Amino acid sequence: MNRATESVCPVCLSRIPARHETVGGDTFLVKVCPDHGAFRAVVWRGDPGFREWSRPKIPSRPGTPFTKVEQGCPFDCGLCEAHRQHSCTAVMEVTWRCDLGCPVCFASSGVDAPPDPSPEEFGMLLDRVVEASGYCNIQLSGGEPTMRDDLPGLVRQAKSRGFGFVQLNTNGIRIGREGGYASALADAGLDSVFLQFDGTRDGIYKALRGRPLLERKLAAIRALAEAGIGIVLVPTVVPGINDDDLGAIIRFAAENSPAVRGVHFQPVSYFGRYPEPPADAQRITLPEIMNLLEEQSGGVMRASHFQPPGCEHSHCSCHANYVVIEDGGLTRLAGNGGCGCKPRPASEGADRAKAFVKRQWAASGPDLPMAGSGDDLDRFINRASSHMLAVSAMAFQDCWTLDLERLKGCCIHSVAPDGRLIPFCAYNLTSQRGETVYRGKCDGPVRA
Amino acid sequence: MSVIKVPEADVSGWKCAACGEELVSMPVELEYLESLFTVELPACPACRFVLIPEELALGKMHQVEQLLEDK
Amino acid sequence: MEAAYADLRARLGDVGLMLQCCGAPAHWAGRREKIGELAGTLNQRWRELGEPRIIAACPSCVSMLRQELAGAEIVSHWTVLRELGPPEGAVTPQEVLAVNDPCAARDDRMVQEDFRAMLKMMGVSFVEPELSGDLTQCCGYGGLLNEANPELGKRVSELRAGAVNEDWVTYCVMCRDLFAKSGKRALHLYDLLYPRSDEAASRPAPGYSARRENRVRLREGLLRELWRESGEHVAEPHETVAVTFSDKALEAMETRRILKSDVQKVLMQVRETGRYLVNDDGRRLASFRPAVVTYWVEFEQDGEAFVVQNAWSHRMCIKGGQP
Repeated sequence: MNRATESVCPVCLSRIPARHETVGGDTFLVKVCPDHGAFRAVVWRGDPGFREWSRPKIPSRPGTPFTKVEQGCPFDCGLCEAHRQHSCTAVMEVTWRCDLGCPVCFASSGVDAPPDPSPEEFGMLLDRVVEASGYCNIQLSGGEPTMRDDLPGLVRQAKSRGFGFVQLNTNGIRIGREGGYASALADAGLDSVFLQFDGTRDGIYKALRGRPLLERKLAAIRALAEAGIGIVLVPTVVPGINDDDLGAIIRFAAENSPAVRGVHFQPVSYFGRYPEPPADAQRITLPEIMNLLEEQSGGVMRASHFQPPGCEHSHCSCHANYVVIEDGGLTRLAGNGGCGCKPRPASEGADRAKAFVKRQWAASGPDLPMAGSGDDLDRFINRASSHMLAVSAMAFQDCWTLDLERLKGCCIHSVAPDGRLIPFCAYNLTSQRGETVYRGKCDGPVRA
Repeated sequence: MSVIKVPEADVSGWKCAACGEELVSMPVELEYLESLFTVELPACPACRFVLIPEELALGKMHQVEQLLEDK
Repeated sequence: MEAAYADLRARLGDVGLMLQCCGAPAHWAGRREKIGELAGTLNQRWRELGEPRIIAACPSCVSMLRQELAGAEIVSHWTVLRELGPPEGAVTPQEVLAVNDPCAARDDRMVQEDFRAMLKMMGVSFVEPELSGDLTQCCGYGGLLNEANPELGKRVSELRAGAVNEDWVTYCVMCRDLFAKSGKRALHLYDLLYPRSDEAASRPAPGYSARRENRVRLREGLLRELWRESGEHVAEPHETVAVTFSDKALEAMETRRILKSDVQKVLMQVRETGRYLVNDDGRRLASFRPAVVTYWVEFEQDGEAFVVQNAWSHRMCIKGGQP
């Protein structure tokens, strides 16, 4: 079974035809460059199958496309008028400096980092985001954003301009180290932290980040919990390094609920310079993560709990939601069992029910019922609003795995220094030799 | 599990017709989509016929149903 | 419906009648396996009948059947009538009407034209709403909106129903009934072609239970009077339970999607087992879970007759011996 799409040549980055080839349950992206030969990389292994994993979507255009279609995907990003999804999250790199130098990082972080964008430039970029995509979610990224001393000011700026959800992507080192820093971010209005958290053992950090970091991660989690900022743990999953620790990460997250609100696994992808294409053994795919979670959680989580995304392209991610119950166990919040297809009793839609739950929780906040009061239903409703754990995984695409159909449906957009919005995987795309298409080539100033 | 959160008006004055017994509060198990909840509800002490008042069915129970059905 | 069928028989000769769901609701609910089953049965019956041409009045049926029955010629009843002309007895209202194209007719120019041609042939004066034809607006039912999100469905219904000052005339029964439900006068073209009352435009929507019963009665009536087959429909035991409803009960049942037959099943349980609750003030209360939903019925009893005052339901299951 083959499915045709397009990709790029990993060597020269020319757009070339590609197809998905499924052999014995594994699906490969296969392509041939007239100049550089054939390439084949695994993109999906096992069940649920590549073809079943889909959720048809009606394309949604960007609010204001900034670029026209001239050379064709992926060379017209801005977003172009042929892009098939609006922005859900705008990723803004506020610095290119970093206090770690990780082998697996896709954001460039080096000693010769360019100067940080000024608060004024940052404000102009926010304006561009509003023009292109409205008040979508903002993720402050880098580099390591906490290298900037004025970070709380940037958070405040984004919040005061009306962005409802502002998230910080960080390694957590400064947050754990510097007393009062987390609460300064909270005071500025920060909603959530995307915390790089590769596992529950120091060996994992030594392999991936070059040094033991577990204690620092724990310190960051304590500080964020204290400050009341929601935490999403973000493990980069690398075969042979931490793919045996996924269940332990979930247990750790459950123990730290409700401070930890979610776990977002990112299978490793290969940006930068590689003399040889990465071997398939160096890749891990979404169904493998779902199945490993089932194995390593003793069946508490199941691969069948996961659903394709409603926003980005189906093959880019998977997610399942749980409530962490009092004993630390997980109850799935999902409805494939039974017959949810029949018309429901009509008194309230799901959204109203959720809003009701939130109000009820907020109202009873200061004098929460003591253990033993309220019944199981009350407790579950309260837990569902306070102790939800969202588990998801997102597969980024590199020059070997890039499927332009997926790229066209991307909803996570990097805001380039010149104000263009560029799908995350296109922005970070590099050839095997490390040449970029966008990063470093759209340095501004901000174009109106 | 303890007090029942339904207005007295809804549950008072009910008797089991078959057994002739006044309903008393007792722990009842409710199950939905692999989740089990124990709730104190009025029921017949003899035959365990349970009363689910309208407000409970359309209120909390409906909320829990929708949470478990959440997509 | 009976009149329409009689008219086709009288003017075309051999016309059979297939009373079966086209599967649109299952399609909208995303239940592909159900559609597959249904398409299998439909194909088989159609072949057994000698692969005849199929006439359907509802645009959703037309479009579904075209997908399900490969090789079958599916023709709209309006196309047929345009050829035959209006039947005897068709009426032409004095007032100007507004035409409503159903969602399933959006890309079907032929049926849109045939419908208008019929109205012109009958001398009906009509106007087009702002959104019409390929751009016609949802009545609130399409995609099962009204079932999946009743409040949004109601808003959409009211928006469409109120889009014109004139009475509506349409060719989809769900559009007609949803407009009526939101308090707007509306006609189905059948109301003009095969009139049964002078005040068809203000006829209330039948509601879930009555629509279901109407279908059963249609089949029974045809079996008895037309095809002379008797004893086809053996009433289910619960259907023999005599029951009347207060207005409050009817309203609760309609908004909570509780059918009369669900209530009858609860009451039959009462009759058979004597298990129910009784209040000092005379009210009685019983429950029953025929499949996955537990139904509760509050009622009074006068000898064998039940008067239902209220009904509600839940999907959580009570463990233990609850009926």
